[in-house]
Amino acid sequence: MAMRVGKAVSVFLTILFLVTLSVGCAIAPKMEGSTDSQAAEQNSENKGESAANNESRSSGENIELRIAWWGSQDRHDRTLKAIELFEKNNPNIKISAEFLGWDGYWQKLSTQAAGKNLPDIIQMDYAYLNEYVSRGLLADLEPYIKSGVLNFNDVDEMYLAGGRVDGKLYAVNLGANSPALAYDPAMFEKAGIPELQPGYTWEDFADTARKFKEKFGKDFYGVGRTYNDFGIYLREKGATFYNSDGTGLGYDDDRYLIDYWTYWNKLEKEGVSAPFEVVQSIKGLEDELIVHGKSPFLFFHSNQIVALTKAANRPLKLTIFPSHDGGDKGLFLKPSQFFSVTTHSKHPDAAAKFIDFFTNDTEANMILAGERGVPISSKIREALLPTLDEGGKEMFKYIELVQNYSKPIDPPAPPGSTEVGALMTRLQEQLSFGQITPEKAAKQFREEAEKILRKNKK
Amino acid sequence: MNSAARSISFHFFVAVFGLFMLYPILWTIASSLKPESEIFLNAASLIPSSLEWNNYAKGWQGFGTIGFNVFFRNSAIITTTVVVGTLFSTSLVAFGFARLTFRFRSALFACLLVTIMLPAQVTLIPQYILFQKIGWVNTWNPLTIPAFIGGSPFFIFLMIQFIRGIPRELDEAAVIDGCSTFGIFWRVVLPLCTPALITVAIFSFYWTWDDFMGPLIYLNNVKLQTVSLGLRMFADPSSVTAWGPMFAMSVLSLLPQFIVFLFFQKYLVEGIATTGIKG
Amino acid sequence: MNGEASVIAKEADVNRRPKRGWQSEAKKNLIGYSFISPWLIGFLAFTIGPMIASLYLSFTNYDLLSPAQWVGLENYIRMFSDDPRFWTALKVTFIFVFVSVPLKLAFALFIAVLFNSRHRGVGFYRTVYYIPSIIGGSVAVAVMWKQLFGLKGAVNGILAYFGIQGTNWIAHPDTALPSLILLVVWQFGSPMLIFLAGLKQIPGELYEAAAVDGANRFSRFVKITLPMLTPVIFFNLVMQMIGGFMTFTQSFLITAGGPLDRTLFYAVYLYEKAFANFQMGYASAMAWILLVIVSFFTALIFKSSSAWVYYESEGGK
Repeated sequence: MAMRVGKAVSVFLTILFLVTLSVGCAIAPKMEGSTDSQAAEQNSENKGESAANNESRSSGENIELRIAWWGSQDRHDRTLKAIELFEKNNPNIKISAEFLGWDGYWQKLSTQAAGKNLPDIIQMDYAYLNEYVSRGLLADLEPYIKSGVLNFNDVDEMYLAGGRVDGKLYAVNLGANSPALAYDPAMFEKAGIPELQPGYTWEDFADTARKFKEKFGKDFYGVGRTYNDFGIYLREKGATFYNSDGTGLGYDDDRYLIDYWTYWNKLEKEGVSAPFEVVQSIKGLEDELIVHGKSPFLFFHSNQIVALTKAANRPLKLTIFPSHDGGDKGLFLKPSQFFSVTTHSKHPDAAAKFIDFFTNDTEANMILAGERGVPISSKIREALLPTLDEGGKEMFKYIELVQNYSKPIDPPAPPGSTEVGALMTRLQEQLSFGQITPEKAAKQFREEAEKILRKNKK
Repeated sequence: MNSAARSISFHFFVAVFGLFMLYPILWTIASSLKPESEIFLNAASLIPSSLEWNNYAKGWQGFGTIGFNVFFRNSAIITTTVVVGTLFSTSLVAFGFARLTFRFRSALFACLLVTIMLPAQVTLIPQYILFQKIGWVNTWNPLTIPAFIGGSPFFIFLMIQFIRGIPRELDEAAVIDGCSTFGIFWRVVLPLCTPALITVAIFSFYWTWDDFMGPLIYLNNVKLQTVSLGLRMFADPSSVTAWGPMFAMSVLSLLPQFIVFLFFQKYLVEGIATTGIKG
Repeated sequence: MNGEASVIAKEADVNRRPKRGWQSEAKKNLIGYSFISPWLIGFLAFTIGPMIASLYLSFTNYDLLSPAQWVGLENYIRMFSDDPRFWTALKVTFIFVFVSVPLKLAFALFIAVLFNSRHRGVGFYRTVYYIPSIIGGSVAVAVMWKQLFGLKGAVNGILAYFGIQGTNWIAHPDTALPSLILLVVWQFGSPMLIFLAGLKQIPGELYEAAAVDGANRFSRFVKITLPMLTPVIFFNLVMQMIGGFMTFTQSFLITAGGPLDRTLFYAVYLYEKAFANFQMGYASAMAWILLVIVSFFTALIFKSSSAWVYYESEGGK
């Protein structure tokens, strides 16, 4: 019996030993840069210190900054090169880059936010700005402008406006962008249809699309995607999508939405715009109908023209959205993305310094080559323009043009806006399949959207 | 039906159907070799107009100074560690549940099963905070160590079912020969479980290799990241996606899985000669 | 979870052999716990805590970015009384599970039996048939599936041979869910592999004896293969069902729940709530409701198992 017990114990000890061994093995690959959690903890103690105090420290001691962004191969390569240059100019600052594809980027950030472990600098999107600012996750950058770390002398206010919430700057625009209509000039020539001139109306647009459909027939569509941006349509009517405090819709008359949906629904029923199953077959920007020569138009954002031109392998042009007869200006300059400094950062001054470098350094911007959109500094724009390819030049030209048809951007969307957006998409699907009338859909939209937004009431 | 006719009809049926099975991989390989502009313009075709090997070169280069060799090395280390850990813990635990009696066994088994019924999305954040508190974020520990302590309930349950299929007379014979409980596990049950162990190895390899959420959440430093993350770094639907390199690296990322399966499955062919052991 | 408890309890009776009767209870426990200790440690250290945390969060309003606020049963009440999409997601998921799981298992078993033969090249075929299951879930794969089922895709190419004009299968409300079911059935690789491993474990002498008795192929399959395979069939049934309720990738990547919410799987809706709408509290409540549903069906299968699952180790009970 004693022997049996001895055996059991030895088995147990063997297991314990194996477990310990395996744990030891697995710990081994722990490498550099595993100090984030400590950094986050220390950060809270440092919050009280003033920006100026931090700055004086940053000149001497060695600092490590974490920067997160999403993008594709081109952006990663260029940004990493620019970072190298920054490190060369600032030997005391080491930057650890945490880049990802679009897939998973926001999920990772929200997890890190929950763990109080956000990187020092994060690439921000306009749609998420308010969510992050309202939870106190982004640092106010005004003190760094005052102290001169951030220099916006060559930057027009309209480029910065998108990064402001309640007057304070929380995010620095990395490239100007704007909603735009891409078109294929060769197709206009082939069809003998005159190109649309800025100031054209929604009716002009529908007629042109119809003409194209008549001319080219089957498997061809006057416009590739339907239901494009109700927000702009509203702005041209002098209304806004959300009310000023984000607790409800900003327009009172459902007529706007009914007209807008009727407009697109009619084009859809006539077969002028691409039907739902065709749109759903599109597998990415590079697969849009305009690339395949199956539609003359695509509503999208101006920075996407670079990739679109490359995919189509022929010149494409940009023009503004249609307007209402005697209506208001509807377009706006929109930051394609921002850099923000998080409140988890231990070295906000060094982070601000990096953003300044990204904005103002000519050499760095030659490397970055306007890949994130049109640079906000006029000095940089001048230097960069001659080096650009066709698509890039078209994008620069458009950003100049659109300023004549713009008014300031609406404040960042309130919390719940992703839910409201999804609601709109679902109703549009029902319209596409003829399951609902525009009138009923508009009523339902108002009811459900108001319910979602009501939660924002304090 | 004679055996030759049977063999021919087998091969005919299986090969025709096999084409359906092969289609996704053929399409992915074809896309990886197409010039970038052709991937969508000529999407239905399985034959590239010209072979664009440059997609592979460009993809392999990766991002800045970090090439795909880094991602492949990391994935290989993590995956191998997890497979070893899973085999180790799964077989021990399964033997315990299937063959031994102890207090609260049924209750603990119920706990084991219930853990896989909760969608991982909602335990993700508490788990992240836990691993962060013990300083494991930005290391491989959250990905590898759990395999050694418990692994996946899926595998444990699988092994339990297999062990319960092994005749108990064999254990008793071993006891008479003076085997300890561990001896029965090691010398009798484990060898008879080879097909199940192979299955566990193949699955845990594939799942770990393909896992996106774990590496995404826990690994910050790009030098520590895996192939599954690397593949996504090519794609940004809001501006531009490097389709060619992405397809090229997707093909390469399938290779190890392919090889592992091809290598391990042959042990399923040979199986083990249970004949004769019994009695 | 009375189902598996009773199964295990029965087995425990068998285990209590007179030969070992002299061993004291404590020693048995020690040995038993030593063997399951790897799992037990992991469970206590890494699993139970986050599970309890998510249960707590299900009673809160938690937006991920700021601290959770206790709201009591509000999430659960809202789910049942004020969220039609919750019911849609449940319906879609139930249809999906009850159609795809039996189909997939039948298919996997059929192919596994076929590939258990000693034909030439069978290893190669197995690998080929396993491919759809290892293809993963990256962006490239999403594009591939869309291409396959799209307007100009391979599926329609084949249908065109038979003179059928195809649609975009994943964009049409009536065909989107069936397409995803087809896709999931097509990915039958993992149950196939488990069946194969199970088939390998059946002692060859049983077949030899049956051959001597003059049993034909079919009766050998029904009388030997199927009963001997029941533990593995049981495993596959339980796991595929649990996995079916959790299905996420296919819908998330290919249809994103649409069109008209026809492929809004429960897990997809839960993810949308958690990470797109920042309602982690609500998502946690959804997760725990799913746990209740899944464990109910699991218990049902476990309860039924004593009637049809045969364990060699338990002398054919």
